Amino acid sequence: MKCVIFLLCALLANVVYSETVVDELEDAKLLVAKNVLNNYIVEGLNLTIKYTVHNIGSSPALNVKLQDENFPAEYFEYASGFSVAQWARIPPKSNVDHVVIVSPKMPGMFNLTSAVVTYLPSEKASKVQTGYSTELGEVYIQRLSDYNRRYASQTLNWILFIIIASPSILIPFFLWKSSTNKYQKSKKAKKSN
Amino acid sequence: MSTKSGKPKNLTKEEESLLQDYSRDLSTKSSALFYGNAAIISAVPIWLYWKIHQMEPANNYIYFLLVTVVTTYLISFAYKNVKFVLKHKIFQNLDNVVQDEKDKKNDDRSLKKKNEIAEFEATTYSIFYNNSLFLFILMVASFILFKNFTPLFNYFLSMGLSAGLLALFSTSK
Repeated sequence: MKCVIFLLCALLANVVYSETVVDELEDAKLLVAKNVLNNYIVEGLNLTIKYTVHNIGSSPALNVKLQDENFPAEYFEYASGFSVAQWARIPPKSNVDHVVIVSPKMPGMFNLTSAVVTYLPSEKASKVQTGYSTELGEVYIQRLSDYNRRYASQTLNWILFIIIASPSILIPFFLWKSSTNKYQKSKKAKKSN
Repeated sequence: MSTKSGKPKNLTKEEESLLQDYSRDLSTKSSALFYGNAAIISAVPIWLYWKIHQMEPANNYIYFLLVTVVTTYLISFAYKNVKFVLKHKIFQNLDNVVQDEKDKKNDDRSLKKKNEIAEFEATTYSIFYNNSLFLFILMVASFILFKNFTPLFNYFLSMGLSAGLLALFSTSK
């Protein structure tokens, strides 16, 4: 009797669990990854941000809207893309990308927080689902002069420096050399006579 | 003969000319040449610090001016010392190369000619040598020794070290 009750309980638990898991995956579920594609974040230079929206659910996500208010106009300038991206439908088990290029206006520490995604998890759903992307945390925006000093190509500047500095060395050298040669030749000529 | 009050006797033109040749004092023309060249070579690194170390002249012109003035003085000091030592060596090496048929009978003219040549060669070689050494020490100091300092400190230390060493080395024989 005890064995039968135990087996019945185990069967019931399995059914409940299975139904719960199936319920979770029936609707759409969006996961958003926010990535910076640059190696360095520099004042005045382009900063590329890529948002990847994954639908891990079994239903298409509808009326998807991705919004990132993390780049206010006083600190950043949009070079390409928009802060808001919309998709009518993201199929299940698929992902979409959105790329934005911004340019920081001033150096210093800056906190890059999450973007917000809103969507309808199924066709029957009336309540909008909200999700948040990964966040990048505090980043340091370098000064352009510091970046140029460390990483910019200086070949042309070196060539110009050599051109500017050369007369100060070459002109006195050639004057000295011509005078020395002139009197060396005279000395040799007198010795041979 | 000096008087009891200690006034020196008046020197003849020949004696004054001899003193001028053997002293470290420069003529006005030589001074102008040395200070002009020293100013140019002191100003050349400004380009380096502006374009490579990213020091904007608009923000740093006071420091550029101050350091250029100090290094001009030190470099011209080095020019003068090196020229003085070289001139005597060159003079001795010139021998009789400048004597021709006419000058054989005129030792004074020959001596004057030798002096002019020695003066010219010593001046040009002094400028060449000191400029080369200054730029070499500056490159080593700016891009190796003080590489990790802020641009402003790098400028002060590199220029100071280069001009200072130049002046120091010039005092040796």
